[in-house]
Amino acid sequence: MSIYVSNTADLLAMINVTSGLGFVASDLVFGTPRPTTQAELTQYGKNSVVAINSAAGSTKSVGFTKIFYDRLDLKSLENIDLTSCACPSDVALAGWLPVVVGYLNIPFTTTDLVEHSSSTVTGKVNVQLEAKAGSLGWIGTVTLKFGGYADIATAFNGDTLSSF
Amino acid sequence: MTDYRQAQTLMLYDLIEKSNPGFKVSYPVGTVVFGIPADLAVNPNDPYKNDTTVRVTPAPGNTGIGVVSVNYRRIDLAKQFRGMTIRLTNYQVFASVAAAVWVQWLAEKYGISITLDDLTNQIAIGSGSNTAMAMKPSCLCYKGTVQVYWTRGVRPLTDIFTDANRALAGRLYPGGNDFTTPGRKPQGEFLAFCQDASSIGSTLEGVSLTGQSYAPTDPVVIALVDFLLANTSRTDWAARTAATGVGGISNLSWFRYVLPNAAIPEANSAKYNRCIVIQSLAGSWFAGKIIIHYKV
Repeated sequence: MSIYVSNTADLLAMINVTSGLGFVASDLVFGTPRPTTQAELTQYGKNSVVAINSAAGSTKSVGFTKIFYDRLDLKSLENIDLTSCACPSDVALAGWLPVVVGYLNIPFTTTDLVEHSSSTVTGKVNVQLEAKAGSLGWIGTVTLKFGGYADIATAFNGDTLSSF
Repeated sequence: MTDYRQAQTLMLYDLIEKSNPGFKVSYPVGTVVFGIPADLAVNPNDPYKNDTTVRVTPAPGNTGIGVVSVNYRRIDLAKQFRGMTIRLTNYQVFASVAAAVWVQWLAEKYGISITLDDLTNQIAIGSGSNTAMAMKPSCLCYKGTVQVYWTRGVRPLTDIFTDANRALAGRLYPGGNDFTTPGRKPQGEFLAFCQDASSIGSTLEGVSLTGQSYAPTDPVVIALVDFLLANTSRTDWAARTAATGVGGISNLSWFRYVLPNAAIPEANSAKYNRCIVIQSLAGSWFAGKIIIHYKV
Protein backbone atom coordinates (compact mmCIF):
# COMPACT_ATOMS: atom_id res chain seq x y z
CA MET A 1 0.00 0.00 0.00
CA SER A 2 2.91 2.20 -0.74
CA ILE A 3 1.02 4.96 -2.52
CA TYR A 4 -1.14 5.58 0.54
CA VAL A 5 1.73 6.90 2.62
CA SER A 6 3.79 10.04 2.08
CA ASN A 7 6.48 10.00 -0.58
CA THR A 8 9.30 10.09 1.93
CA ALA A 9 7.73 7.37 4.08
CA ASP A 10 7.39 5.20 1.00
CA LEU A 11 11.00 5.83 -0.05
CA LEU A 12 12.25 5.12 3.46
CA ALA A 13 10.37 1.83 3.47
CA MET A 14 11.99 0.84 0.19
CA ILE A 15 15.40 1.97 1.44
CA ASN A 16 14.98 -0.06 4.60
CA VAL A 17 14.12 -3.18 2.62
CA THR A 18 17.49 -2.85 0.91
CA SER A 19 19.58 -1.59 3.81
CA GLY A 20 17.97 -3.32 6.75
CA LEU A 21 19.14 -0.41 8.89
CA GLY A 22 15.79 0.99 9.94
CA PHE A 23 16.31 4.54 8.68
CA VAL A 24 13.84 7.10 9.95
CA ALA A 25 13.00 10.45 8.40
CA SER A 26 15.58 12.33 10.47
CA ASP A 27 18.42 10.08 9.25
CA LEU A 28 18.36 11.03 5.57
CA VAL A 29 17.95 14.14 3.48
CA PHE A 30 16.48 13.61 0.02
CA GLY A 31 17.61 15.69 -2.92
CA THR A 32 15.47 16.64 -5.90
CA PRO A 33 14.67 13.67 -8.13
CA ARG A 34 15.16 13.71 -11.88
CA PRO A 35 14.25 11.34 -14.70
CA THR A 36 16.89 8.74 -15.48
CA THR A 37 18.97 9.05 -18.62
CA GLN A 38 18.60 6.38 -21.28
CA ALA A 39 21.80 4.73 -20.07
CA GLU A 40 20.60 4.73 -16.46
CA LEU A 41 17.21 3.40 -17.49
CA THR A 42 18.88 0.56 -19.35
CA GLN A 43 21.15 -0.27 -16.41
CA TYR A 44 18.75 0.08 -13.50
CA GLY A 45 15.31 -0.21 -15.06
CA LYS A 46 13.84 2.67 -13.05
CA ASN A 47 12.42 5.96 -14.25
CA SER A 48 13.84 8.25 -11.57
CA VAL A 49 17.01 8.90 -9.60
CA VAL A 50 17.47 10.88 -6.42
CA ALA A 51 20.47 11.74 -4.27
CA ILE A 52 20.26 10.87 -0.59
CA ASN A 53 22.48 12.43 2.04
CA SER A 54 23.07 11.23 5.53
CA ALA A 55 21.73 13.76 7.97
CA ALA A 56 24.29 15.45 10.19
CA GLY A 57 24.77 13.41 13.31
CA SER A 58 23.05 10.30 12.00
CA THR A 59 24.32 7.17 13.68
CA LYS A 60 23.25 4.94 10.81
CA SER A 61 25.23 6.24 7.84
CA VAL A 62 27.56 8.90 6.50
CA GLY A 63 28.08 10.42 3.07
CA PHE A 64 25.73 10.41 0.15
CA THR A 65 24.78 8.29 -2.81
CA LYS A 66 22.21 7.96 -5.55
CA ILE A 67 19.31 5.57 -5.62
CA PHE A 68 17.01 4.61 -8.46
CA TYR A 69 13.28 4.00 -8.16
CA ASP A 70 9.97 4.38 -9.97
CA ARG A 71 7.92 7.51 -9.64
CA LEU A 72 4.33 6.75 -10.52
CA ASP A 73 2.67 8.27 -13.57
CA LEU A 74 -0.46 10.23 -12.67
CA LYS A 75 -1.86 9.23 -16.04
CA SER A 76 -2.62 5.83 -14.54
CA LEU A 77 -5.39 7.45 -12.55
CA GLU A 78 -7.29 8.53 -15.63
CA ASN A 79 -9.69 5.58 -15.75
CA ILE A 80 -10.98 6.17 -12.25
CA ASP A 81 -14.70 6.69 -12.45
CA LEU A 82 -15.51 9.76 -10.41
CA THR A 83 -18.86 10.46 -12.04
CA SER A 84 -20.65 10.00 -8.74
CA CYS A 85 -18.16 12.05 -6.74
CA ALA A 86 -18.44 15.77 -6.17
CA CYS A 87 -15.73 18.41 -6.29
CA PRO A 88 -16.00 22.21 -6.06
CA SER A 89 -15.51 24.09 -9.32
CA ASP A 90 -13.45 27.24 -9.92
CA VAL A 91 -11.32 26.84 -6.84
CA ALA A 92 -7.55 26.80 -6.55
CA LEU A 93 -5.45 23.77 -5.68
CA ALA A 94 -5.81 24.37 -1.98
CA GLY A 95 -9.59 24.12 -2.43
CA TRP A 96 -9.83 20.89 -4.39
CA LEU A 97 -6.81 19.05 -3.01
CA PRO A 98 -8.51 17.85 0.20
CA VAL A 99 -11.42 16.54 -1.90
CA VAL A 100 -9.14 14.56 -4.21
CA VAL A 101 -7.14 13.23 -1.28
CA GLY A 102 -10.38 12.26 0.42
CA TYR A 103 -11.64 10.25 -2.54
CA LEU A 104 -8.37 8.60 -3.55
CA ASN A 105 -6.75 8.39 -0.12
CA ILE A 106 -3.44 9.19 -1.83
CA PRO A 107 -1.72 11.86 0.27
CA PHE A 108 -0.84 14.34 -2.48
CA THR A 109 0.58 17.60 -1.17
CA THR A 110 1.23 21.02 -2.65
CA THR A 111 4.86 19.96 -3.11
CA ASP A 112 3.69 17.29 -5.53
CA LEU A 113 1.28 19.21 -7.73
CA VAL A 114 1.37 22.28 -9.94
CA GLU A 115 -1.24 24.95 -9.19
CA HIS A 116 -4.32 24.54 -11.39
CA SER A 117 -7.85 25.70 -10.68
CA SER A 118 -10.76 23.33 -11.04
CA SER A 119 -13.21 24.18 -13.81
CA THR A 120 -16.54 22.99 -15.15
CA VAL A 121 -16.46 21.48 -18.65
CA THR A 122 -19.62 20.00 -20.19
CA GLY A 123 -21.24 19.42 -16.84
CA LYS A 124 -18.25 17.83 -15.15
CA VAL A 125 -15.80 19.43 -12.77
CA ASN A 126 -12.33 18.93 -14.22
CA VAL A 127 -9.30 18.87 -11.98
CA GLN A 128 -5.88 18.71 -13.53
CA LEU A 129 -3.25 16.91 -11.52
CA GLU A 130 0.19 17.82 -12.86
CA ALA A 131 3.25 16.56 -11.03
CA LYS A 132 5.88 19.11 -10.14
CA ALA A 133 9.32 18.32 -11.53
CA GLY A 134 10.64 17.94 -8.00
CA SER A 135 7.92 15.65 -6.70
CA LEU A 136 9.48 12.65 -4.99
CA GLY A 137 6.63 10.34 -5.83
CA TRP A 138 4.90 11.42 -9.00
CA ILE A 139 5.37 12.26 -12.66
CA GLY A 140 3.04 13.04 -15.53
CA THR A 141 -0.35 14.66 -15.62
CA VAL A 142 -4.00 13.61 -15.61
CA THR A 143 -7.37 15.30 -15.64
CA LEU A 144 -9.91 13.89 -13.20
CA LYS A 145 -13.54 14.43 -14.08
CA PHE A 146 -16.01 14.73 -11.23
CA GLY A 147 -19.64 14.26 -12.12
CA GLY A 148 -21.32 14.57 -8.78
CA TYR A 149 -23.48 17.42 -7.57
CA ALA A 150 -22.05 20.10 -5.37
CA ASP A 151 -22.10 19.57 -1.63
CA ILE A 152 -25.75 19.34 -0.72
CA ALA A 153 -25.22 21.76 2.16
CA THR A 154 -24.62 24.54 -0.39
CA ALA A 155 -28.24 24.22 -1.53
CA PHE A 156 -29.64 24.93 1.93
CA ASN A 157 -29.86 28.10 3.93
CA GLY A 158 -30.57 26.29 7.15
CA ASP A 159 -32.41 23.36 8.62
CA THR A 160 -35.74 25.12 9.21
CA LEU A 161 -38.44 24.89 6.56
CA SER A 162 -41.39 27.29 6.27
CA SER A 163 -44.93 26.10 6.83
CA PHE A 164 -47.11 24.72 4.01
CA MET B 1 58.49 19.44 -4.04
CA THR B 2 58.21 15.70 -4.21
CA ASP B 3 54.84 14.16 -4.94
CA TYR B 4 54.35 11.99 -1.87
CA ARG B 5 51.40 10.16 -3.39
CA GLN B 6 53.48 8.29 -5.93
CA ALA B 7 55.30 5.03 -5.28
CA GLN B 8 58.45 5.28 -3.18
CA THR B 9 60.72 4.24 -6.04
CA LEU B 10 59.34 7.13 -8.08
CA MET B 11 59.76 9.51 -5.14
CA LEU B 12 63.44 8.52 -4.98
CA TYR B 13 63.71 8.82 -8.76
CA ASP B 14 62.45 12.40 -8.52
CA LEU B 15 64.89 13.12 -5.70
CA ILE B 16 67.81 11.90 -7.84
CA GLU B 17 66.60 13.93 -10.81
CA LYS B 18 66.44 17.12 -8.74
CA SER B 19 70.11 16.86 -7.82
CA ASN B 20 71.11 15.33 -11.16
CA PRO B 21 69.16 17.06 -13.92
CA GLY B 22 68.96 14.89 -17.01
CA PHE B 23 69.19 11.64 -15.13
CA LYS B 24 65.73 10.65 -16.30
CA VAL B 25 66.76 11.26 -19.91
CA SER B 26 69.65 8.86 -19.62
CA TYR B 27 67.82 6.40 -17.43
CA PRO B 28 64.07 6.72 -17.84
CA VAL B 29 61.77 5.44 -15.12
CA GLY B 30 62.06 1.68 -14.86
CA THR B 31 65.60 1.36 -16.14
CA VAL B 32 67.36 1.36 -12.77
CA VAL B 33 66.90 -0.66 -9.62
CA PHE B 34 67.52 0.40 -6.06
CA GLY B 35 69.25 -1.81 -3.54
CA ILE B 36 68.25 -2.16 0.07
CA PRO B 37 68.89 1.12 1.84
CA ALA B 38 71.29 1.20 4.77
CA ASP B 39 71.59 3.60 7.66
CA LEU B 40 74.25 6.23 7.39
CA ALA B 41 75.90 8.10 10.23
CA VAL B 42 74.79 11.70 9.90
CA ASN B 43 77.55 14.13 9.14
CA PRO B 44 77.05 17.21 11.34
CA ASN B 45 78.24 19.40 8.51
CA ASP B 46 75.75 17.96 5.99
CA PRO B 47 73.06 20.60 5.42
CA TYR B 48 70.60 17.89 4.39
CA LYS B 49 71.35 15.63 7.37
CA ASN B 50 71.37 12.60 5.12
CA ASP B 51 70.98 9.41 7.08
CA THR B 52 70.54 6.76 4.39
CA THR B 53 72.51 5.34 1.54
CA VAL B 54 71.34 3.14 -1.29
CA ARG B 55 72.98 1.57 -4.34
CA VAL B 56 71.59 2.39 -7.73
CA THR B 57 72.30 0.09 -10.69
CA PRO B 58 70.93 -0.25 -14.21
CA ALA B 59 68.03 -2.66 -14.32
CA PRO B 60 68.72 -6.07 -15.86
CA GLY B 61 68.16 -6.04 -19.59
CA ASN B 62 69.25 -2.43 -20.02
CA THR B 63 72.40 -1.30 -21.72
CA GLY B 64 73.80 0.69 -18.83
CA ILE B 65 76.57 -0.54 -16.61
CA GLY B 66 78.04 0.41 -13.30
CA VAL B 67 76.77 1.21 -9.84
CA VAL B 68 76.45 4.33 -7.77
CA SER B 69 75.55 4.97 -4.15
CA VAL B 70 73.42 7.94 -3.29
CA ASN B 71 72.87 9.44 0.13
CA TYR B 72 69.56 10.95 1.15
CA ARG B 73 67.36 11.42 4.16
CA ARG B 74 64.37 9.18 4.69
CA ILE B 75 61.18 10.71 6.01
CA ASP B 76 60.81 10.10 9.74
CA LEU B 77 57.12 9.38 10.33
CA ALA B 78 57.40 10.39 13.97
CA LYS B 79 58.41 13.86 12.79
CA GLN B 80 56.02 14.06 9.87
CA PHE B 81 53.08 13.35 12.17
CA ARG B 82 54.46 15.18 15.20
CA GLY B 83 51.63 16.65 17.21
CA MET B 84 49.05 14.70 15.21
CA THR B 85 47.02 11.65 16.04
CA ILE B 86 46.69 9.31 13.11
CA ARG B 87 43.07 8.38 13.47
CA LEU B 88 41.33 6.32 10.83
CA THR B 89 37.54 6.52 10.96
CA ASN B 90 36.51 4.02 8.35
CA TYR B 91 33.57 1.68 8.52
CA GLN B 92 33.89 -2.03 8.04
CA VAL B 93 31.65 -4.89 9.11
CA PHE B 94 34.19 -6.64 11.31
CA ALA B 95 35.27 -5.46 14.76
CA SER B 96 38.96 -5.79 13.88
CA VAL B 97 40.67 -4.41 10.81
CA ALA B 98 43.59 -6.20 9.16
CA ALA B 99 46.87 -4.39 8.52
CA ALA B 100 46.46 -4.77 4.77
CA VAL B 101 43.20 -2.81 5.03
CA TRP B 102 44.14 -0.07 7.47
CA VAL B 103 47.44 0.67 5.79
CA GLN B 104 45.48 1.31 2.61
CA TRP B 105 43.05 3.59 4.50
CA LEU B 106 46.04 5.45 5.91
CA ALA B 107 47.54 5.90 2.46
CA GLU B 108 44.22 7.22 1.14
CA LYS B 109 43.61 9.61 4.03
CA TYR B 110 47.10 11.09 4.29
CA GLY B 111 48.17 10.75 0.66
CA ILE B 112 51.33 8.78 1.34
CA SER B 113 52.53 5.65 -0.38
CA ILE B 114 53.21 3.28 2.48
CA THR B 115 52.28 -0.31 1.70
CA LEU B 116 51.94 -3.48 3.72
CA ASP B 117 55.44 -4.57 2.72
CA ASP B 118 56.92 -1.51 4.43
CA LEU B 119 55.67 -2.53 7.89
CA THR B 120 57.60 -4.61 10.40
CA ASN B 121 54.51 -5.44 12.41
CA GLN B 122 51.47 -6.24 10.35
CA ILE B 123 49.00 -6.17 13.22
CA ALA B 124 45.22 -5.90 13.08
CA ILE B 125 43.58 -3.09 15.05
CA GLY B 126 40.40 -3.47 17.10
CA SER B 127 37.75 -0.78 16.98
CA GLY B 128 38.65 2.10 19.28
CA SER B 129 42.15 0.73 19.72
CA ASN B 130 45.59 1.45 18.27
CA THR B 131 48.81 -0.18 17.17
CA ALA B 132 52.36 0.91 16.49
CA MET B 133 53.18 1.23 12.83
CA ALA B 134 56.95 0.66 12.49
CA MET B 135 58.81 0.90 9.19
CA LYS B 136 61.09 -1.89 8.04
CA PRO B 137 64.77 -0.94 7.71
CA SER B 138 64.44 -1.81 4.03
CA CYS B 139 61.71 0.80 3.45
CA LEU B 140 63.03 3.10 0.75
CA CYS B 141 61.62 6.48 1.78
CA TYR B 142 60.20 6.22 5.31
CA LYS B 143 61.49 5.30 8.76
CA GLY B 144 60.37 5.55 12.34
CA THR B 145 57.29 4.47 14.28
CA VAL B 146 53.90 6.08 14.86
CA GLN B 147 50.70 5.01 16.57
CA VAL B 148 47.68 4.38 14.37
CA TYR B 149 44.18 4.56 15.88
CA TRP B 150 41.07 3.11 14.33
CA THR B 151 37.48 4.10 15.04
CA ARG B 152 34.94 1.94 13.34
CA GLY B 153 32.78 4.86 12.30
CA VAL B 154 29.43 4.93 10.59
CA ARG B 155 28.62 3.01 7.47
CA PRO B 156 28.78 5.12 4.29
CA LEU B 157 25.72 5.18 2.07
CA THR B 158 27.94 4.17 -0.83
CA ASP B 159 28.72 0.99 1.05
CA ILE B 160 25.04 0.33 1.73
CA PHE B 161 23.90 1.03 -1.81
CA THR B 162 26.09 -0.40 -4.54
CA ASP B 163 25.40 -0.79 -8.23
CA ALA B 164 23.86 -4.14 -7.42
CA ASN B 165 21.13 -2.82 -5.14
CA ARG B 166 20.72 0.90 -5.73
CA ALA B 167 17.58 0.28 -7.79
CA LEU B 168 14.85 0.09 -5.17
CA ALA B 169 11.93 -2.28 -5.44
CA GLY B 170 8.50 -1.04 -4.54
CA ARG B 171 6.40 2.07 -5.10
CA LEU B 172 3.57 0.20 -6.74
CA TYR B 173 -0.01 0.75 -7.54
CA PRO B 174 -2.01 -2.09 -6.05
CA GLY B 175 -1.87 -4.77 -8.71
CA GLY B 176 1.39 -3.56 -10.15
CA ASN B 177 2.82 -0.74 -12.19
CA ASP B 178 1.02 -1.60 -15.38
CA PHE B 179 0.53 1.79 -16.96
CA THR B 180 -0.93 0.56 -20.24
CA THR B 181 -3.64 -1.95 -19.45
CA PRO B 182 -6.88 -0.49 -18.08
CA GLY B 183 -8.32 -2.32 -15.15
CA ARG B 184 -5.39 -2.40 -12.74
CA LYS B 185 -5.90 0.77 -10.84
CA PRO B 186 -5.83 1.98 -7.25
CA GLN B 187 -8.72 2.14 -4.93
CA GLY B 188 -10.30 5.12 -6.57
CA GLU B 189 -12.03 3.04 -9.18
CA PHE B 190 -13.70 0.94 -6.56
CA LEU B 191 -15.14 4.01 -4.98
CA ALA B 192 -17.36 4.33 -8.04
CA PHE B 193 -19.35 1.48 -6.54
CA CYS B 194 -19.21 3.10 -3.20
CA GLN B 195 -22.23 5.30 -2.80
CA ASP B 196 -21.56 5.24 0.92
CA ALA B 197 -23.54 2.20 1.98
CA SER B 198 -23.62 3.41 5.57
CA SER B 199 -27.41 3.63 5.36
CA ILE B 200 -27.61 -0.18 5.28
CA GLY B 201 -24.56 -0.58 7.48
CA SER B 202 -26.54 -2.24 10.27
CA THR B 203 -27.77 -4.93 7.87
CA LEU B 204 -24.29 -5.47 6.51
CA GLU B 205 -22.88 -5.63 10.03
CA GLY B 206 -25.58 -7.99 11.22
CA VAL B 207 -24.27 -11.10 9.51
CA SER B 208 -20.96 -12.87 9.53
CA LEU B 209 -19.43 -12.51 6.08
CA THR B 210 -16.57 -14.94 5.81
CA GLY B 211 -16.66 -16.26 2.31
CA GLN B 212 -19.94 -18.16 2.29
CA SER B 213 -22.17 -18.07 -0.77
CA TYR B 214 -25.38 -16.23 0.06
CA ALA B 215 -28.65 -17.38 -1.45
CA PRO B 216 -30.77 -14.91 -3.47
CA THR B 217 -33.28 -14.89 -0.62
CA ASP B 218 -30.78 -13.95 2.04
CA PRO B 219 -31.72 -10.62 3.67
CA VAL B 220 -28.23 -9.20 3.21
CA VAL B 221 -28.33 -9.94 -0.53
CA ILE B 222 -31.75 -8.36 -0.94
CA ALA B 223 -30.75 -5.28 1.04
CA LEU B 224 -27.64 -4.80 -1.04
CA VAL B 225 -29.43 -5.27 -4.36
CA ASP B 226 -31.99 -2.67 -3.32
CA PHE B 227 -29.24 -0.32 -2.33
CA LEU B 228 -27.29 -0.75 -5.56
CA LEU B 229 -30.39 -0.31 -7.70
CA ALA B 230 -31.26 2.89 -5.86
CA ASN B 231 -27.80 4.38 -5.79
CA THR B 232 -25.91 3.39 -8.93
CA SER B 233 -26.56 4.01 -12.58
CA ARG B 234 -26.49 0.29 -13.30
CA THR B 235 -30.08 -1.02 -13.52
CA ASP B 236 -29.52 -4.74 -13.71
CA TRP B 237 -28.38 -5.51 -10.19
CA ALA B 238 -30.13 -8.70 -9.17
CA ALA B 239 -30.19 -11.40 -6.55
CA ARG B 240 -30.24 -14.18 -9.10
CA THR B 241 -27.47 -16.74 -9.39
CA ALA B 242 -24.44 -14.61 -10.00
CA ALA B 243 -22.47 -16.79 -12.33
CA THR B 244 -25.29 -17.04 -14.84
CA GLY B 245 -26.74 -13.55 -14.86
CA VAL B 246 -25.21 -10.14 -15.39
CA GLY B 247 -25.72 -7.98 -12.32
CA GLY B 248 -26.20 -10.89 -9.96
CA ILE B 249 -24.42 -10.76 -6.62
CA SER B 250 -25.55 -13.85 -4.74
CA ASN B 251 -23.79 -17.20 -4.67
CA LEU B 252 -20.39 -15.55 -4.70
CA SER B 253 -17.72 -15.27 -2.02
CA TRP B 254 -18.51 -12.44 0.39
CA PHE B 255 -16.14 -10.97 2.90
CA ARG B 256 -16.36 -8.08 5.30
CA TYR B 257 -13.24 -6.18 6.35
CA VAL B 258 -12.57 -3.64 9.05
CA LEU B 259 -10.54 -0.86 7.43
CA PRO B 260 -7.73 -0.10 7.20
CA ASN B 261 -6.72 -3.66 6.54
CA ALA B 262 -3.54 -5.04 5.05
CA ALA B 263 -5.49 -7.90 3.51
CA ILE B 264 -7.14 -5.58 1.01
CA PRO B 265 -4.96 -2.51 0.64
CA GLU B 266 -6.74 -1.29 -2.47
CA ALA B 267 -9.88 -0.70 -0.40
CA ASN B 268 -8.34 1.29 2.40
CA SER B 269 -9.91 4.70 2.63
CA ALA B 270 -9.77 7.67 4.89
CA LYS B 271 -13.55 8.04 4.69
CA TYR B 272 -14.80 4.55 5.55
CA ASN B 273 -14.04 1.97 8.20
CA ARG B 274 -15.78 -1.08 6.70
CA CYS B 275 -16.08 -2.68 3.32
CA ILE B 276 -17.88 -5.62 1.79
CA VAL B 277 -15.95 -7.51 -0.87
CA ILE B 278 -17.80 -9.73 -3.32
CA GLN B 279 -15.29 -11.91 -5.09
CA SER B 280 -15.94 -13.38 -8.53
CA LEU B 281 -15.83 -17.14 -9.05
CA ALA B 282 -14.99 -19.20 -12.12
CA GLY B 283 -17.58 -18.45 -14.78
CA SER B 284 -18.94 -15.34 -13.09
CA TRP B 285 -20.29 -12.50 -15.19
CA PHE B 286 -17.45 -10.32 -13.94
CA ALA B 287 -13.83 -10.85 -12.94
CA GLY B 288 -12.22 -9.50 -9.82
CA LYS B 289 -14.02 -7.85 -6.94
CA ILE B 290 -16.92 -5.59 -6.20
CA ILE B 291 -16.06 -3.49 -3.18
CA ILE B 292 -18.72 -1.60 -1.26
CA HIS B 293 -17.65 0.83 1.43
CA TYR B 294 -19.58 2.01 4.43
CA LYS B 295 -18.97 3.59 7.80
CA VAL B 296 -20.25 2.49 11.17
